[in-house]
Amino acid sequence: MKQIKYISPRTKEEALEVLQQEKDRACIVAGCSNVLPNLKDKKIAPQILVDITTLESLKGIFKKEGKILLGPLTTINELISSKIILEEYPVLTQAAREFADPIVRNTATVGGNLVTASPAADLAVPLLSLDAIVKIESLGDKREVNLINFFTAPGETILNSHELVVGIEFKQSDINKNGCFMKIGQRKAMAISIATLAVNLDWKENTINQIRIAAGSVAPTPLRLTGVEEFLKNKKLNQELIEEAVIKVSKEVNPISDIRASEGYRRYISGILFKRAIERLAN
Amino acid sequence: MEKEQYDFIGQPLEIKNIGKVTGKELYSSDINIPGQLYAVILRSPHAHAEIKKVDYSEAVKVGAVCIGPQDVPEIIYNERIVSIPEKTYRDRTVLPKEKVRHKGEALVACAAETEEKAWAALQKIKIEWGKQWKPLLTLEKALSDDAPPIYDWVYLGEEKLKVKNNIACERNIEVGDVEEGFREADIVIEKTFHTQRVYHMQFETKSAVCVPEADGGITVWTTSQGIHNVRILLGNIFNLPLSKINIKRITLGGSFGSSIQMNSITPICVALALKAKKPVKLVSSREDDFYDHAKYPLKTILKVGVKKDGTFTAAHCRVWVEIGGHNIQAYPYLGCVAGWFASLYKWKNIKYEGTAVYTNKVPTCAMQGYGNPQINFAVESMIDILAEELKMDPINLRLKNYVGKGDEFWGQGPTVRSIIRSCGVEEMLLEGAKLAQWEKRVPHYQKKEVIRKGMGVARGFHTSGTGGPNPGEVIDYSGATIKINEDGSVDVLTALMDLGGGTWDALAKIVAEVLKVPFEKIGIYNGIDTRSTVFDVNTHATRGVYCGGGAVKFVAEKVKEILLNYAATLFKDLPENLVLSCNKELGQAIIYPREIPENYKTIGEIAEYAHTTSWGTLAYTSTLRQKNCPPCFITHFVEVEVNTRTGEVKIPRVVIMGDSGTIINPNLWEGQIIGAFSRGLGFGLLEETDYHPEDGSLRCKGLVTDYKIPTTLEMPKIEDIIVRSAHTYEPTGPFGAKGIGEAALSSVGPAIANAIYNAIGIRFYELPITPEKILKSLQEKEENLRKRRGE
Repeated sequence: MKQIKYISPRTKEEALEVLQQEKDRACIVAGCSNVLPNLKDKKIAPQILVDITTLESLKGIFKKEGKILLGPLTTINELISSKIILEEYPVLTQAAREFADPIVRNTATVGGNLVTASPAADLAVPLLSLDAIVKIESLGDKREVNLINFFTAPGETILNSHELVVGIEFKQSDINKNGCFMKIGQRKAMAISIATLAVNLDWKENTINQIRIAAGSVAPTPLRLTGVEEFLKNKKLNQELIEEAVIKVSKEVNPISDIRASEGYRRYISGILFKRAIERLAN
Repeated sequence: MEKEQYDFIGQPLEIKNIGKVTGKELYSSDINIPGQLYAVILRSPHAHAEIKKVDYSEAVKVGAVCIGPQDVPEIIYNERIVSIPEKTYRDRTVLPKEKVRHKGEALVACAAETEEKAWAALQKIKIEWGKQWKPLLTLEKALSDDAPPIYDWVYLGEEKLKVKNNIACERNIEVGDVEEGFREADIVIEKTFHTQRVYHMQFETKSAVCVPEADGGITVWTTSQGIHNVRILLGNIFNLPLSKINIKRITLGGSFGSSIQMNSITPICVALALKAKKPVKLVSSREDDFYDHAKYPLKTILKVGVKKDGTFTAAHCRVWVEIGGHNIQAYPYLGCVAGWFASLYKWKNIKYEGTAVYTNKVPTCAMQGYGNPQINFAVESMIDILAEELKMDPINLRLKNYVGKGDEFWGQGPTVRSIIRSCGVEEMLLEGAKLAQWEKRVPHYQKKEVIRKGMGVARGFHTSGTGGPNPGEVIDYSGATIKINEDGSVDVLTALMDLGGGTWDALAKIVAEVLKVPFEKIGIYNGIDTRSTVFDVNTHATRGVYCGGGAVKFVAEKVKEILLNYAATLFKDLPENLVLSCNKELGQAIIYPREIPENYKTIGEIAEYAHTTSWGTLAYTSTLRQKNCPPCFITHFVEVEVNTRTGEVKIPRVVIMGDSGTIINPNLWEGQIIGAFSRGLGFGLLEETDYHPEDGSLRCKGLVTDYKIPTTLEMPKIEDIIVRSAHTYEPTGPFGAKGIGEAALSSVGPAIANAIYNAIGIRFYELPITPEKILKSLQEKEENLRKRRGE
């Protein structure tokens, strides 16, 4: 194994400076639940580990002006124990509860789950269905990107090597209050998902005003199923429509076959997860 | 059944091994010797390739000590020496000499002052490869006429044998006339079953620490289920007298059978230490371990003939096992599979044909059952298939044909035969059926729900040890030294290993019961090695309590005799007039003349007197061979819920009936049964080591990320796991006890498969039964129905 340098910046600005200098050579670490296995599996080979776990400004769950801001260092367990998340954004609590196991949930962070950009990132899926925005900073610059445009390929995002995710934001709204997360894996804990699916639904008198559907482990990146969303919009929600949508979900996902499941099973099971989720939300 | 009042046997356990719950227990990887080097292993990137040259000169230049194929002894051995030498196939050296035979096979090892330096040195090793072959990964490919030979020659005992068609060994057995039997039958059914390779996934990966001693000898701490066999093998390989080799008995972090043989890393560590002339420590990573051992898979073609009334007339059983790149005792494995098969039911006429085949995969070895869960899956599935065909209740068909009390049991195969003297099969099937509410079971064709419930039953057993009236092909004896210390406490010195099931606690209880000394005053942990103990073969074959406990009881009784004889001189009485009992208030064993308890002396006082008068130590050493191997029986009633939309299987409730004769430690016994159920659940529904067809690598890469065993969340809730014991007494066992460990796993797989059949009407012939397989079968069934309806 090669020698790896370790830096622990004291402020966000210091972290951004290090990133500006070191760019590709650096790898940001926080919870380490992905970085360490990836190092061992030789999937990544950084020269410098930049440990941001001491940066207080990147921690916490903040409510302001009809919005929620998550610090990227928020751990999965902090999400689970947040009352406001449970009441206003239940899809996120549900996903967090099914994330890995209690030990990993104590260290793994929301930001880490997003930037690792695994196709199977369990938190990306509810955050997509909450229509979250990713706040990004670099030395002397900042930008915002909708999560839908964040992931580009397995393990890859639009994030440049000198940039840091500093927040994840989503709106307080009727649709965000009504969400459901579904997951299927080889076993019930500590298993990479075979398929995940989240639905957020805003409907009145049986008519769908707006729906967001996100899916994980069924494409090169976590994705929104915009085709199905379009199809369902302004339609009367009934069993027939659900059955039609189930087929469309199976068609819109774009999975591969791997050691955990085949492509066909993933397509089929995505439809089933959608059916379960929408039925739960509609009842 | 004999009724005895016990002071310690059968009582709930106080935790004796406190080191395990406080994290202070030492395992092989915790041993550190001043000045030790750290070793790492270069493993083959190829599955089947000729080694032309190994050049580690650059690694030596950076300060590493290295060994390659050219440095290890020429001795060809089998790492598992539980069987007698003339029935032991030998095909391996410490490191492969001419070619590698599976990906991940250890090839070169480096030791240096730090692990980092050892790794850095390892990168500098150059291997020149010769001819490479496409890996043979399946039975069919390995057996085909154009398959490259994985071995040209192997040894059976001292005989050199040519290997034909990659067949490692064969075993054929015939009892009666099967053809005649099939002619008598009203119904004959033949089916093919497959069980998969699973990985042991024991907590502790294999480790070794070796210290070269000043006298030319070695001291070794290593992961092992039997320290004496490790010593014998190392003596043979390195040409050292056994008196110069000392193997320390150290706690195991689980093994499930993967350390019955001397682990492949142990002689590598020794070779490095002998070359370096310094202590060497070698700890396997999980990836190393994944590429080191796996469970024997099995393909079974089973044909059974039965009369209309449910009486069996004949069974023809053909099995194939692909064993991977080395033969770790596939010959006794084939014998045991025959034994398990023959001892489940009275088939009347039997024909058995077993074939073990080399492939370019990880070598397979024993894992909790040594073929029993594999063949049990075929037989217990077949019983349900036959019962349906006969329109008989599956429980009744089992009751009609099972091998029980008074019948012949084949123990460890055809050469170890004994008569069954205790049997709870009937009680377990009938009582279990009541507890499981078997009578409420509904046939699958009446179920239409999305989530369909089902219930299945399967029964099994395992041998307790490998003894028989006459010694067979398997070596089986244990021994101990037991001494009463100067304060009346007791030391038990036995090489018998505790694999984590609580065997040492059971043995301590047996000694406590014989000598009436409180359990907490029995010392059995730590400070044990080959030099201080008499031989013990191994903790395998569910023999810990029955054979190890039997030997310890035998020695304890001798010590009791010595104690009473000595006490008689103090009481000026005859030994037969003295009573030995436990006084719980005093926390001491006491001795008194019959009818005069007030005149007691504690054995602490007696031992102290023997000490201060220089009489000597009250002690005895001996070994014992058990002349029986009684089956411990198990019965599983499993409830399942199959989700027909996703193929997921949930197990809401299970009833498990066990027959271990007298139970020494009830809570550890229950723990064994529940733990085995969890492993069986993995075997039945989840686990498999897949290979890349091209390069012969493990698809999970040896990482647990993609090899899942069940967690507690896959288990039924604790209150829905009902475990009960049969009321039996084994006359040949210590205090009436038999084993449990491997029995507890044997019938989990088929019980789940039978329950799934009852839920959805689909019979699975291959494990694991994954959601994807279930879904595919459900879709096929739908399609066939549609076709039949002409849609």
